[in-house]
Order: sequence, then C-alpha cells, then structure tokens
Amino acid sequence: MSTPSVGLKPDSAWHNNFAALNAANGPFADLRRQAWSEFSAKGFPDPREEEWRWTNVSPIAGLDFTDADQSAVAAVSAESVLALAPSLAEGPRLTLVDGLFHAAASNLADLPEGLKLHPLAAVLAEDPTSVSELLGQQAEGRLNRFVSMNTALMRDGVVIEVADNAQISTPVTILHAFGLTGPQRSCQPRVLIRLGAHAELTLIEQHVSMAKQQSLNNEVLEITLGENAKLNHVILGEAADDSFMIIAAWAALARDAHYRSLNYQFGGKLTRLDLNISEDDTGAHSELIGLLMPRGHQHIDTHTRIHHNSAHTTSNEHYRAIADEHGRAVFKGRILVAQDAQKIEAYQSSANLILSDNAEIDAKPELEIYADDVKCSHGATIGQLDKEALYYLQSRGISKSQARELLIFGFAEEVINHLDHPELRAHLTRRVAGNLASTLLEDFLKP
Amino acid sequence: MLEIKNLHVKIGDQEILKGINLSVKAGEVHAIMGPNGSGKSTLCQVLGGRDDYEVTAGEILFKGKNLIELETEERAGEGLLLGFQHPVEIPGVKNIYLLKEAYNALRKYRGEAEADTFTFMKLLRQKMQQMQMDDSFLHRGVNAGFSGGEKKRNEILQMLLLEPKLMLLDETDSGLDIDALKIVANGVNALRSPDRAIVLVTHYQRLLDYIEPDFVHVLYKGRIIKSGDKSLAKRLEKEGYQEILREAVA
Repeated sequence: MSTPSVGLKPDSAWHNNFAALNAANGPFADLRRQAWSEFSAKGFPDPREEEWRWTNVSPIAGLDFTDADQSAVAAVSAESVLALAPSLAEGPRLTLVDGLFHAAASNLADLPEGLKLHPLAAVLAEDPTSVSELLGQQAEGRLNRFVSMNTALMRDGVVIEVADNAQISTPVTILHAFGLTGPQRSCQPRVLIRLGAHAELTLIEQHVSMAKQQSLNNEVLEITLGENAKLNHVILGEAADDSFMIIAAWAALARDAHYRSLNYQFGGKLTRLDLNISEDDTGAHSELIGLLMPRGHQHIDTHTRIHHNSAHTTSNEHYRAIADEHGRAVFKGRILVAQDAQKIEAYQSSANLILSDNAEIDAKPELEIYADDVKCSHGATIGQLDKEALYYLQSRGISKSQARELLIFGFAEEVINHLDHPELRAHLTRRVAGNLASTLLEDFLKP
Repeated sequence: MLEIKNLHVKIGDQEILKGINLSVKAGEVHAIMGPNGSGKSTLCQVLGGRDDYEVTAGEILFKGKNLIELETEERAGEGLLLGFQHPVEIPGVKNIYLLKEAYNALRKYRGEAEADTFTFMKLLRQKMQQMQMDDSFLHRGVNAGFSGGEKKRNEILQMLLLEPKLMLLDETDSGLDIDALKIVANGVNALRSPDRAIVLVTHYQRLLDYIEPDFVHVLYKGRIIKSGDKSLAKRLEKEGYQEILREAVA
C-alpha cells in the first residue's frame, strides 16, 4: 500500500523544535535523526492511510507548536499544576509539565524498595546506556508518524524500573499536565517501563491540560514485562476540550507476564491512543479495558493491536464508547495470531452507545489468524438507549431524564468496575456523572 | 379510584379495545380474565402509559384525574404501579439503584423529603425478607439473568416498597412454579388494604386460589362481556371460556 503524504512544510515550526536538539548531539542522536527524517519526509498521518481513516489530524497539522523551555516550566507553581489534577492515589508521583519534569509537583521521596522512578532527562544526562535496552526497542513510526515525531523531539519523560520479585503495593502516578506555559505548546514525553521477573506494579497515568491553549501532548511508552510480571496500567484522559492528545504504547510480555490496560478517555478535542501488545512467550496474558466518552465536538480514538506471537497466550478485551452531542468515538481492535501460535484464546467485545443524532461511533474488530488451533471471538454492537428499559424505569416513577442517566451510567459502570482502587472508581463515577450533568451522583458514590 | 369509560384503543390500524367500562374502588380486588388476544395486556399498557397505543375514544379517570394526559412517571407518582408480564432486563443498572431512585422519585412527587440511606435500607430489607429475597438481588442488574419467579418477586418487592394506590398486575402468575406463586400471592395479599385497589390480569384461575378477588371480569375481543364475583372464575375453570362466551352472546 502506498502511503500518501505530503511531507512536512519547510516553514513548519517543527523544524525549529528539532534543530536545537539535533545541534546538541546528545545520546540517541542517530535514533533521533532517523526518526526526524521519517517524520519530516512524510509529515502527519493522512486519512487516506488505513490506520487513520476515521481520525483526521489536520487540526494538529494546521497549527504551529513550540516546545516548552525548562525555565518556563520551573516558573509554574506546584499549586497551579495540582489544581488541575485531583490526587487519585497516595504514593509516588512524577509530574511532567508541558512534557518536562516538575520537581515541586512530584513526590519521589521514600520510594518503596525495588522501585526506581526517574525523569528521563536526568537518566539521559547521567547514564543513557541504562535505558538502551528500552528506548527505541519497540516503538516505531511505520503506522503512526507521531511516534517518529516523539522519537525525534523527545526531551524528557519517565523511567520506571521494578526489580525482580518486587511487588510494589502503592500505585505510582505519572501526571501529565500540559498547556501550562503558554498557548500551542507541544510536548513529547517518553515513558520507559521495565518490570523484572515476578515484579508487580500499578501505574496511573493522568492527563490534564490548561483550557484555551490548544496544546499537544504526544506521548510514547515502551513497556517490557519480565517473566510472571504484572502491570496494571491505568490511563485517565481528562484534557481540556481544545487540547490534542496522542499516545502510543508498546508492551512486550515475557512468559506468564500479565499486562492490564485500563483506559478511560473523557477529554481533549482530539485524542488518539494506540496500544500495541506483544505476547511473546507461553502464558502471557493481556486484558484491555476501555471507556471512550466523547461529547461536544470531541473526537476520541483508540486502536489496539494484540500480537499473539507464541502458543498458549491469551487476551481479553472489553471496550465501551458513549458518544453524545457531536462527539465521535473510534475503536479498532486488531488481534493477530502468528503462524503456529496454537492454543490461543482471544476475546474482544466492543459495545457502543449513541446518545444523539449528531454523534458518531466507528467500531471495527480485526482478526488475523495464522494458526489453526485457536479460540478467538469478537463482538461489536452499536445502539441507542433501550426504549423498553426507559419505559420500565419510568413506570416506577423515575423521570425520563433520570432513567436515561441510570441507563448510561449503568453502561459506563461495567467498565469502571474493573478498577481495583475505590478512589479511582469514585473519581470516574463523578466524571461520568459530570458528563451527564447527573443528579444521581450521590447515590452512586455510596457503597 | 379508577373509572374506565367506553375506552377504545388502537395499535396502528387495528382496534384492540372496543369500549371497555370498568369501575374500581379503593379496597377492592378485581380480576380481569380472558383468552389470549382478548386485549388484557393492551389494557395494562394503556393504563401504564406506553406510547405505542392510541386512545381513540373514551376516558380513564384515576383519582378523578385524566390518566391519559399524564406521563408514565406521573402515573406512578399518582400511585398507579404496573407489574409487568415480562419485567424488562436492564443488565447495567443495579436493582438497588432502581429501588432507591424509584422510592425517592415517588416521595419527591408527593412533596416529601428524600429518605436517608439508613432508613431506606432498613425498610427495603424488611420488604425483601417478606419476599424471601437476599441481598444479592440488590447488586445484580435489574432483572438481569433472573429466573421467571425471581422477576415476579422483584415486581412485588417494588410494590411492597412503593406502596401504590392502585396495583395493576399483568399476568404476574405466568411462568411461576407453585412455591413462587405462593410467595408472590403472599406479597400481594400483604398489600390488600381499605385504601388500596388491586387489579389482577390473568389467563388462569390458579392465581385466584391464593388472591381472592371481589370481582371477576371476562374480557373478550376488546370488550368486557361478563362480570361477576369470584364464583365466575370458578365457572371459567370448570366450563372454559367457550361456555361463558356462548352465554354472553345469547
């Protein structure tokens, strides 16, 4: 398939963003230059490309973004950062403001034994070889040139390492707060995660942004899970309605490793997530849960790709979208079973609720199977609120608007309930209720 | 309490009810019986407020108010509750949410303060015990995966909790085994009171062995062709509808 693209315009501000980094000639300079040549030659993804047919990124391509500088980030007070983002969990927190480490809004004291949590810039400055087995090992921009953009322009991010056998009981939070240092800021955070054998961690990534700034957060994660390691990865998107958010994550799973992704997206003007899972050895298992809830003129897209590269690997995927007003949700879930990867079990469901005549949801499962002894199933449904259920609730005295809320809420709650942390569940409940302007909130927050 | 006068109802082009007259007073229990297709369910749904039906003539007065002009939820607010023949399954909505929202919605309609959780739960548990239901019912989706008997018990539980003025039960006995039927009947009997009316719509006489009606009406082809006391139900069981029909036509 030919890739139609126009390349980056010569007068684009992205050239300036790259020039300084290129001149610095720091670690991973070759990787950076290679990625830049991919991004600058082909430019932004085009809706004529299969992976982008439902998500037009021209609103991003049409704006000039500049990277924040360190001094401007340092000038942002911790209070103003934390005012944007309610604390969802006790425990370590690393905050990136416009993509750069913000010490005052972070909490890196008293880290549990076995956990390393560092800003990427510090690691690149002090010991770049320590991440050479992580950085650039999985992420690639073939299907998504935002990834090349990140690799070319990355300056900071997060490195998390959990030692063999270390089971970290308190969740780690990464707070991405962007648009705080000015309008049309771009940031390119890179997050590298390695869990050793039998290690366990819960990571909460929280994305928030300042309103009316049209900022862009373009994030790439590379995750490596050792034997029997378990990662719970919560992604909670609550960026302002005019922000752009692109996230691409890769996870490689060793034998018996478990990756659990819990993806809840409410915010942004345009949000696109790509989750790429490689199950590389026997017993690897992934669970992908998601709730996409666009309204207003929001566009929220998630593409997942699960690669069953080895026999006896399993996956379970459960996505829901609720689109209201002019909102649009996109879900594409690809399951790929490699040649001779037998005894695979892969389940996918995508349930979707359209609340307005102007809303749109596109859902597409894709199975690609090159083995014969596999159990794969998928189901996608798109519908409106059940009229019979509305009538039944009304016949009990519940008003039509409350009946509607109950049904929408019930639909969302099934995915929220996958969260283990009560504070997070309560936060999401409030968030869904807020989206519905619900008066039922109090009832739902009670146990 | 309920006055139905010359009620004509259409679905699409088809006239289903062709002039129903019925008067129900507080404290009374009425049974409406009839073969399949006689219009029993239509009558229930029109009273309940479903909007697929068109009232072409006649009127329905409930406590003196024109019922047809009220929204479904307003009818419930006024005290009319319909027990569904096929209670709707709502997998995402927990039963406890329905019960609590309904309870408070009705209080609000009457201008009363919402109940606090403690008071509500105490009341609810007492009613659940009456219906032999345990707490697991509260956290399951409304009727989702319930057996036929569980669904009907859930309907009666709602009646016990919401204490309607007029209880309209649409084939509540269908699909019940004898044990479930007894539990349901006990629930209904507990609700009998001088200021409440009960209308049972049923295909079978069996339910009336457990809930004794004051009046029995036979509905046939959209009209009430015969009314009487509970002995009419006994006759129906013994002689079948055909005999009564012949008599009515003659």
